[in-house]
Amino acid sequence: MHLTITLHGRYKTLAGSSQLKITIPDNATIWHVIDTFIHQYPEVAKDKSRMMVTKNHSYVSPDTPIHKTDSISIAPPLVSGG
Amino acid sequence: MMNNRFIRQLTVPEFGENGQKILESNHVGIIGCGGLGSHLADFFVRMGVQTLTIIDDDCVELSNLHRTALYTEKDIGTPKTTTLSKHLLAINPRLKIHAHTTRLTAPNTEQLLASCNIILDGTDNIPTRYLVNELSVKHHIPWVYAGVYSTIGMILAIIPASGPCFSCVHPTLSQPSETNIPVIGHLPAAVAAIQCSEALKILLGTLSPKLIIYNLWTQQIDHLDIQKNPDCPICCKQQFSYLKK
Repeated sequence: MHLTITLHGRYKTLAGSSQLKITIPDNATIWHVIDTFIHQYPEVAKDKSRMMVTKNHSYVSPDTPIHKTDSISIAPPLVSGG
Repeated sequence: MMNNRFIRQLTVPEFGENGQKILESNHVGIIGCGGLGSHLADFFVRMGVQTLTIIDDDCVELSNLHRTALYTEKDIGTPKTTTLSKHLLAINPRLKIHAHTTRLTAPNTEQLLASCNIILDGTDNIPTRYLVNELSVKHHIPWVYAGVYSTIGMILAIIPASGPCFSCVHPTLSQPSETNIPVIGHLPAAVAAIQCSEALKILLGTLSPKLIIYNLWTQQIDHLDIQKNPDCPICCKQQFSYLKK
């Protein structure tokens, strides 16, 4: 399926746009979205286990299945310095 | 004298006399007195907070001075809480300040913070934020998360009754392995200023919380709308595992 995902923070800067069109399998999970994003932008691979991904505005785990009508966004991990 | 002191912010329409009264009547808690916490304390006391709790177990170090407010070279080696208190009392001698030179832990969290009306995050680690989040949900106390890295700051106001809690956004304990993370010197002041605005809007009842991602270098600001997780163990199921440790 084709999906347009929304990018936030430095991911948006990296892609040069807040929207990214990707193609993933019909039975995809959030993992497919993350892996496709990393494939296009390998420099974000270090964030893989901590990326903040939302589906329809709620945080979801990477195992969550997705459908072509879902609204998916990816943001960098929360930062912790004080 | 007091009217003269705040005259320039009393005329700000978003804040006004009502905002000033609300600010002066609420007890603000700040956890951590480093880059974020020292600026938060400075802002809130200058703006008129009358009752403040600050918590930190560290001493001032030379490597803190590039990003903190108020501390000087003479303060190196002194406890941040006592030194910050001294500077804050010089700004307002009538301030009621509760300064605790201790680490926030499960046994002392409720004792130190349950009387606050709002809590500001100036800590530097995720486990402490889980602790504060559980206290916030259990006692219905709003708090404002913030973190900094390099030139980027993230801020999220948490109003437990109506919006997502910290665990809705960050459900698993995963921290960057980096120590001595990079932070450009003027970033904590900018992020603390945004945090301060979010806190004021919570107190005034005018905030719709969103996760804010701010890049101080590029001046890009991004707002991420996140809803409550219906399966959240903290805010939906009231399971307070960090407070019980």
